[in-house]
Amino acid sequence: MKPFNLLRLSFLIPLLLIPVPGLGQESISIRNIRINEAPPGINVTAGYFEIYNNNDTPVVLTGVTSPAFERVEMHRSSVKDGIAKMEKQGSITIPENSNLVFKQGDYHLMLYNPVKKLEKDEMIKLVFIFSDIDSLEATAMIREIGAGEEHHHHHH
Amino acid sequence: MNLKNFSVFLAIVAVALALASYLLGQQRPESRPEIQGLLWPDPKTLEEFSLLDQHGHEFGLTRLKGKWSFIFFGYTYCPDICPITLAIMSEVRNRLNKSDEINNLQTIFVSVDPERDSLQRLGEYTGYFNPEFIGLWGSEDELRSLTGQLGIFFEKHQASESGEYLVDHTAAIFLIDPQGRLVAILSSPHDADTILSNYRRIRSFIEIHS
Repeated sequence: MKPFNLLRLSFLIPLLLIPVPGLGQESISIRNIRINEAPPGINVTAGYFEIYNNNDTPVVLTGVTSPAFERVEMHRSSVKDGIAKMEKQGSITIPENSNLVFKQGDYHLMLYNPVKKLEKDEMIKLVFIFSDIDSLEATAMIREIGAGEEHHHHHH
Repeated sequence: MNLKNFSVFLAIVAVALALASYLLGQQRPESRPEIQGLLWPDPKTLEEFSLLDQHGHEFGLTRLKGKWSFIFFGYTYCPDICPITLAIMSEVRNRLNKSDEINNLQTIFVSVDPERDSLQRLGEYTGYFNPEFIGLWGSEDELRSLTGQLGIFFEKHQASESGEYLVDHTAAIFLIDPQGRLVAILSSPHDADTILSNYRRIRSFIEIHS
């Protein structure tokens, strides 16, 4: 191609800098986040949510933090041979174009040592941390244990 | 075969048929009905055990007699399965109350974590879910005086650096009748509708057969 034409085409270069929707937090959404109210005198409680990965590649959730709790861990409950168990999860992979539901009796967050007593209907902040993409902030409501579903959608 | 022998033969057949019919008729009412979790015809009669309720009062076999009892096991540091079960059992209790049925029913949560679950902690915890719930505590040996009879499993994990640990435990709910017999084991996952339905059917069956 003649250099003259290449020069003309150079105006297209800035177009390469426009982010194309692909792997990124833009394609992750977290919905229906519920944190159980802790019974009196109890400093650990559970949290649940649904995470949707609309990317064409898997994403790996490596942890969750919250300024409202000293520590947050990811666990998975199960009942095997009639025995209830919980296993801590180091990281959880959400496959491409799919969702993962954290729910009672299954994957859940364990939130330890609230910095202050949290009341029902109070809102707290959560930060979802991933291995390959930026973390995602969300807010969640404290709800009564066993209460119905609430709907808070958080995505970019 | 001549007529006399044939008549004898017929008589024997008739008697045999009558006997078979009688025996079959006898067996049908006693056969195990299709009720989920029911332990029949061999419910296990419990023996003495010694625990404390959340008020510090002794709780043994005598406090199971004369009432129906749901008993299940867990610990207050369990954030997922135990609170769910307690919330479900509270709903069961409330629905039975609203229906004006003759309840005579107690709901008992037994801690398998005596190290961390003090009586006060247990009382606050069970009271949060339903003020009518009973929380039971015992040392590990005292716990085993009950868990051993029911075939309950519990095992403490190794503690983390911060001293926290998880406890694996049997997830089923046990139903004891007013004679202190284990009459049903309701396996998880639990939901209020199924528990209510099974409880009513089991109770009706046991009351007829006791």
